Amino acid sequence: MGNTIRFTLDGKTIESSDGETIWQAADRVNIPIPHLCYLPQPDYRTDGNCRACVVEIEGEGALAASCLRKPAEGMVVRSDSERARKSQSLVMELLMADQPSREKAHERESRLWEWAETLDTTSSRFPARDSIDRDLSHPAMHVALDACIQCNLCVRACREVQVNDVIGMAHRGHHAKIVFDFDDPMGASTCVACGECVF
Amino acid sequence: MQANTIEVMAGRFRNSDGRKARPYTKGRQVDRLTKAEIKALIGESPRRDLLIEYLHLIQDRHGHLSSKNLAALADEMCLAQSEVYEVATFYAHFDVVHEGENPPPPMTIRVCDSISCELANAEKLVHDLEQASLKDVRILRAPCMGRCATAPVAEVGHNHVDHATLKKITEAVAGKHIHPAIPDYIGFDDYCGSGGYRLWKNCLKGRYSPERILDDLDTSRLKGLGGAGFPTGRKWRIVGGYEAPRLMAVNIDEGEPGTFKDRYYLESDPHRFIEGMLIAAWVVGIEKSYVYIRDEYPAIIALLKEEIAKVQSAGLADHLEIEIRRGAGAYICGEESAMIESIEGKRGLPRNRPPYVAEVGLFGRPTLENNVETLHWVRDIIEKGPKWFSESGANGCSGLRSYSVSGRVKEPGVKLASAGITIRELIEGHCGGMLDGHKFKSYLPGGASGGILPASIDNVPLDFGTLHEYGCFIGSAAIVVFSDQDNMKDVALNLMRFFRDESCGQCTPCRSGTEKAARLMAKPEWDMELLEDLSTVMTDASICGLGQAAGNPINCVFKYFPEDL
Amino acid sequence: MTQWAQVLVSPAVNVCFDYVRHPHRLNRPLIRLDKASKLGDIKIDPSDFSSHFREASWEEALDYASGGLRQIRDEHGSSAMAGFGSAKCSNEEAYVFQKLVRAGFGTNNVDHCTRLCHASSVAALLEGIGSGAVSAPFMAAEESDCIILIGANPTSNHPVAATFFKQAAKQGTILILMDPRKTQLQRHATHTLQFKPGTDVAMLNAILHAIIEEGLYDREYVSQHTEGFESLSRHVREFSPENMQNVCGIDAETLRTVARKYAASRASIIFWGMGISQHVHGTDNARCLIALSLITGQIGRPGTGLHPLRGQNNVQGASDAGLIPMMYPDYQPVFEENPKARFEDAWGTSLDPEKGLTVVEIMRAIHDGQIRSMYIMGENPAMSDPDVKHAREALASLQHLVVQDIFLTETAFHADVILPASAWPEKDGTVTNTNRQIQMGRQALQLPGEARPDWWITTEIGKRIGMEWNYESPSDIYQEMASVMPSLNNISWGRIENEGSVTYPCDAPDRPGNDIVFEDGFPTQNGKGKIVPAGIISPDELPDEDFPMILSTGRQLEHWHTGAMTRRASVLDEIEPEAVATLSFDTLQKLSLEPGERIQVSTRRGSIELVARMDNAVPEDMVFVPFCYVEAAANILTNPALDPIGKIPEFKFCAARVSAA
Repeated sequence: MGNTIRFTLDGKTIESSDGETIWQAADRVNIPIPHLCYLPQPDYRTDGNCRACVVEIEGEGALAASCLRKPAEGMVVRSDSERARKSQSLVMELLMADQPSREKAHERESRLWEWAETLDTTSSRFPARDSIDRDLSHPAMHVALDACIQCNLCVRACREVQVNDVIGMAHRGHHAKIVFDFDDPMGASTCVACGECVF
Repeated sequence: MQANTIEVMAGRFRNSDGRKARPYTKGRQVDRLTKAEIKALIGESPRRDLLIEYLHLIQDRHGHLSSKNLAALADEMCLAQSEVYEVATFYAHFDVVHEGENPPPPMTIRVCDSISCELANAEKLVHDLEQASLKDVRILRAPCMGRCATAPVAEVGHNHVDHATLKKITEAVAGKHIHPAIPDYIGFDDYCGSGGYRLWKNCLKGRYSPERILDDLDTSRLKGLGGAGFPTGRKWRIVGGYEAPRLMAVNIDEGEPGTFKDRYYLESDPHRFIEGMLIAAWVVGIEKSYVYIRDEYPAIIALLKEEIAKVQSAGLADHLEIEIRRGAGAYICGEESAMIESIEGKRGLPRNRPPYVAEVGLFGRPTLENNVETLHWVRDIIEKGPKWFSESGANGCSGLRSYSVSGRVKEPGVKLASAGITIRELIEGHCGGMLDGHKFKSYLPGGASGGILPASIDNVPLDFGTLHEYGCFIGSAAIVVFSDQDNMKDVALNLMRFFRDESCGQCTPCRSGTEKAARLMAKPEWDMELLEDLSTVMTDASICGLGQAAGNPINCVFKYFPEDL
Repeated sequence: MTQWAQVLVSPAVNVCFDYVRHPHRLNRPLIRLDKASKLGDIKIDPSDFSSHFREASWEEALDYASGGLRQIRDEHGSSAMAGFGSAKCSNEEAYVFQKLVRAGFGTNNVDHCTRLCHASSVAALLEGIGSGAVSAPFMAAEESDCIILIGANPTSNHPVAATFFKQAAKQGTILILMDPRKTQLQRHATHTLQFKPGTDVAMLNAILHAIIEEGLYDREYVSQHTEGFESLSRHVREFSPENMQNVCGIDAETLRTVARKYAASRASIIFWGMGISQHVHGTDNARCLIALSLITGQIGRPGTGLHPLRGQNNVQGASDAGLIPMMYPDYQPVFEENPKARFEDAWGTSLDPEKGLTVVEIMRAIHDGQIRSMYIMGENPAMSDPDVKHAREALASLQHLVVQDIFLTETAFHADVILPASAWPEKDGTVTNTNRQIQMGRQALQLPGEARPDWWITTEIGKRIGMEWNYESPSDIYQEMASVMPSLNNISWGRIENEGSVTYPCDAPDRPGNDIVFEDGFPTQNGKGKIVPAGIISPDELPDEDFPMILSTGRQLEHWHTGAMTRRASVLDEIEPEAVATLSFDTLQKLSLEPGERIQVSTRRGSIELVARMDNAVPEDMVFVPFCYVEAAANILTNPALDPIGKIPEFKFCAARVSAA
C-alpha cells in the first residue's frame, strides 16, 4: 500500500500512510472535523456530498472534502482556518435552515444536531424550504423527509451495504428527494424493513 | 441515520382486527405484454449505460414514461426500480407519469427563459401563449436552447422557432411542424472535395506522426474551448500516458446561457470536427469515442448520425468505434465528469476530483474529454501551421476565439475573432454596434457563470485568465451585452434561477445555496451579508464549477452595480 | 468476516422483539381442566384460557407433568414415550432435552423441526461426506467465482446470506439461480433456471452428464478423494441435457453452459434451501449436489463447498446436540455399539439400541396407539406438520402431553400441562449458526412473571423422573457437552464468553476455528467422499383432473416458521396481517380470480380459505401458501408422504385445486 508521507494539518505535522484520507488522519490525532454524509464504518463508501468537512489546502483554489481527499507529501492543510471554518459553518447553517426546530426535531441527539451545536449553528438566518409531509405508511418505520439533508447515506445503506436497492435519490437540484422505488409510500414499496438505513 | 429521517417505531402495538392483506405482492408487478413491448423497443441484451437512450425510446413513443413502462424497463434491464426512477426524474426532457396521473398533452412548447431570451421579452411570449389556451398543448419554460442570436426562441415539439412570436408558434402547432429543420451544411462529399480528410488519410499513411501533431498543438497554444482553457496538446499527452484501453468523450452539450458556437460549427461544417476527433483518437490511442449531444440540438443529432455513418462506410473510422449519445435536458452534463456519469446511464452528478477524468473517466478508464470546437480547429492548425493559430491573437493573447454574442447589439451571432480583443472591439467591429436607442451598460463575458462586467471595464482583453482580477472569466466566450434599459439586479436573479434549476443537487452549498439565494434575490431588498455568505460557501465548498461560479452574479452586482439595488 | 455478519441483521430479528412482551405471553404454569375437551378444532382465546386451563404453581405443575410422564413410561415402557425439542432453543437446552428423552424416557424417539426442513440434506451429507454440517460459511460466497443457489429464496428466508450473494454478484461472481419460483435475486443473477417443479434430479443429472461427457470433472480429485464415480458416470449417461430439456424445462444449451461454468470456475460453491429438501426425492436432490461438488473438486478450498441454508436460528446447534432420533450428539449413531457404550458410560445408564422415530412417524405411532405420552419443548407440530389435521388428532389422543412454550400455541392447546418458558433474549446460552460459529447469547431481558429458562424446566422434570442431575447453569451443561462432543474440542465456555463466537472444528485453544473443512478428505470410514447416483422419483402426488394445480409451501419474509412468535410481533403482523396465497397474473386470469379475492385452496386432505395475492414470481399453475397462519394453516393441505431416507415430508409439491371462496 501507500508509503508513509508527512503533511501538516492545523500546524501539526502528521505522518500518514495506506491511503488514509485527511479526515481519517485528523480523527487519528484527535482533530475533530465536522462530517455528516461520511459514516466512518466498514462498507460505507465515502461520497463527499455534504461539504461539512471541507478543509483548506495551500495552493488550491477551492476547499476540499477531507473525507475523500488523501494527503500528499508536504501538503499544508487547515481545517481551522477562517475560510475553512466559515464554509463548514455555512454548510451547517444552510442545512439547519430546512430542519424542524430543535423542539420538534425527530432526534435531538443526531450527529447533525451535535455538529450544529459544536459549530454554533443551531439556528439559521436563511429562509426555510417549503414543508414536507411525513410518510407514515409503514408500520415499523416512518420517513420524515422534513429532516432530510440529502446526504444519501440511506441510499448507500440500501443499495451498497444491504443491496436491497429500494431507496434512491430522485429529481435534481433542491427538488432532490429520497424515494422508495418510484417514489412510493414506504409501506407499499419493496422495502423489507431491514433497518440498515435507520442506523 | 444522519438526521434521523427514517425512524423505528418500537413497541407500538396495534390491534389486528379489520386489517386486510395486500392484493399484490410488494412492489410493482410487470405484466408480460408490457415487458414484451419494452423488449421489442430496446432490443436484446440491454446495456446498463444505455438507460437514458432507452428512456428516450419510451418517451418518444408514448410522449411520457409511465410507471408501468418504467417498471418493465427496470425488469428487462435487471435494474432496481429506484435506479431507473432516479435517472428518469433527473433529466428535464423525461415526463414520468405515475399510476392514476394524466399523461402530458401530446404537444409540448418550450419557451427559453434564459437571459438573452428574457431580454427579448420571453416572459411576454409565455404569457401570451398561456392566454392563447391552445388545445392539447402544454407550455413549459426551458433553459437556454443555444439560439440566443435569434431570441426569443421557442421549441414546438423538436422544431425550434427563432424570433418566436405567438403567431409563428401557433402556426407551427396548427401545421404540426414538430420536427427539427436540418440546416444546410457542408456534407461529406463537399468536405472531401475541398481537401477534407486529406490530413487524416496522411496520418494513416504515416506522413504525420502522433508526436508531430502533439508538437503542433503545443505550438499553436490551442486550449480547451469548452470553457476550462486547458492546453489541448498537454491534455492529449496526459491521457495518452495512462494505460489503455482509453476512451474519449466529445462534449456537445454547450448549455451555458449565451453560448451557441458549437451549434454554429456543427450545423455548418460538421466534418471538420469529425476529422479532428479521428485524429485525436489516433494520436492518443483511443478505442472508442462517445459523442454526447444535448437534446436541445435534435438537428445536430440527426445530421451527425448521418455524416458519421458516411465516414464509417468510407472506411475512414476503422480504428475507432463511435457512439452517439443523446442528452436529456440537463445543463450540468456539460460539466465533464457529469457528462461521463450521464454517458454511463446515470444521473449527471459531477465527480469529486482527484482522480481526474484523464486518469479515471468513463467506465473507470482514462478518458480524453474534448469540446467539439477544440477538435474543430485541429485540421486547420496542422494544415495551416500552428503559428497561423497562435499568432491570431490580439492584445498579447494568442489564438482565435468564437464569441457567441447576443443581447443588445445590432448583429448578434458567432464572431470568429482574435482571442483577447476587447468588448468594445467586439461590439463595434463585429456586431455593428449597439441596438438603436440602447446605450452599452454592461456585459457577461462568459455566459451565466462568468460574472457581469460594467461598460467601464471595456479595455480588458477577453481571454482565459485575463478577467480573473475582476472576479470574472471568459469560459465558453458567451458574450451577452446589456444596455441602460437593463437592471443588473434582475439579470442576476435570472442567472441565479438558472443555476438553481440546473444544480444537480448533490452538494449542500450548491443545492441549498442556489435555492436560498434565488429566494433572497427575489426580495425587493437584497440582504448583503447573507448573500455574500452564500456566495462564499458556494464558491469555496461546491464540488464543481456550477456551484463555484453561482456566486459570481451576486458579487458583481454588489461590486459594479450598487445603483441597481 | 464475523464482524460483518454481525452488522447485517435480518428483518425477522430486527424490528420484532416486541413479541416477548405480547399480552398473550404465558407467565404462569397451566394445568388442563378435567372437563376440557382436547377434540374439535382449536377454539380458544389466547388471552382468556380459563375455559380449558387453570393456573398452577411451579411445584404442582412440575409434579403433575413429570408424574404423568413417569407413570406411562413405567406402565407402557419406553417405546410409549417421545419428545420434540426445538431449534429455537440453546445448544444446552437441546442437549439436556435429548438426554432426558434418551436417558430418562429410555428411548431414541426424539426429534425436532429440522426433520421438516433439512433432514434429507443431512441424510445425504452424512452418507456422502460423513458430516451434516456446512462445509463452508455463507461468507465463502465472497471468495467464490461461481455460486449455484438452488431451491432457496434467500431474500425472503435468509436475508443476511442474500446480501452476501448480491455483493458477490456485484463484484462479478457468476450467480446461477435454480428454482421453479422466480426470486428477487434474479436481477443479480448470471443465469436463472426456472425449472419445472419436482424435476430437480432430471436437471441436476443432466448437468452431471454434461460435466462428465465434456471431461470437465477433476480426475485427480475424483481418484484421490471420492468413490462411486464410475457408477455415477454410467448412471447419468442417459440423462443428457438434450434428453432432459423437455423434462425439466431448461434448454440443453443453458444446462451445458451452467455445467461448464460451475466445473471450470476456480472456486464454485453450492447453496441450497428447502426447495431441495422438502420432497420425497429430497435426499436424491441433495445427492446430486454433493456429486456435483465431488466430481469437480469444488469442495475443501476457499470459495468452494456445500451449504444447506437452514431455517431457524439454531438448527445447526440443535442437530449437533443430538435432537435426532438416530444420532447422539455429534452425529454418533445410536445403533452402533461403540458410541452407545460411550454415552452409556458418560450418562451412567443403559440406552435404547434402536433408532428412534422421526417427527411424522411419531404422529403415526400415536395414531397406532404405540406412543402415549410426549414432552414437547418449543415446537408446534399442530401447525408445522404435514396434514396437520391428522397431527392434531394425534396430539389430542395422547394420554399425557407436556408442552413447554412461551405462547399458548396450537400444540399447547392439546396439552395436559403447559410450562411457561423463555424467549431467546431472556436467557444465557450458546447457539450455533449455519456457518458453524458457536455464539454466546446473554440475557438481555427479564423473564415475564413466573416464566423460567427452558434448561431449568427440563432439568426439574429430569430430577422428578429419576435423573440425578445437578446442573445449575447453562455452563454446567456445556461443560458436559464438551466432554462427549469431539467437535467442541478446544472450545471452552469461557472462551466463547470471551470471544463472543468461535467456529468449530478448532485445532487449538488459542487458534481460530476452521471456516473451511474437508481440505484433505472427509470424516468417512475410508476418508473418501461417496458419490451416490440418484434416479428420478416423481413427486408423490401429481396434478390430475380433480386437483389440476401444484401447491407449494414455504416462508414469508416477515413471519418465521409457524408464526407463533412473529405473528405476535406487532410490526411484522401489521405488514402481513392476513393469510394469503400467491399466484401469478396468468394463473389468476385462467381461474377468473381477482387479486385480493378470497379463495379456497383444496387438496385431498382438506381445504383452507385465504386471500389471493398476485405475484408473478410464482410459476403458472402453482399456488404458493406460507405456513404461518393459524386461520389458514397450509399444512391442512400438505402431503405427509415422506422421503424414504431423510423422512422429510413433501411440503413443496402436491396436487391442489383453487376456486373462489
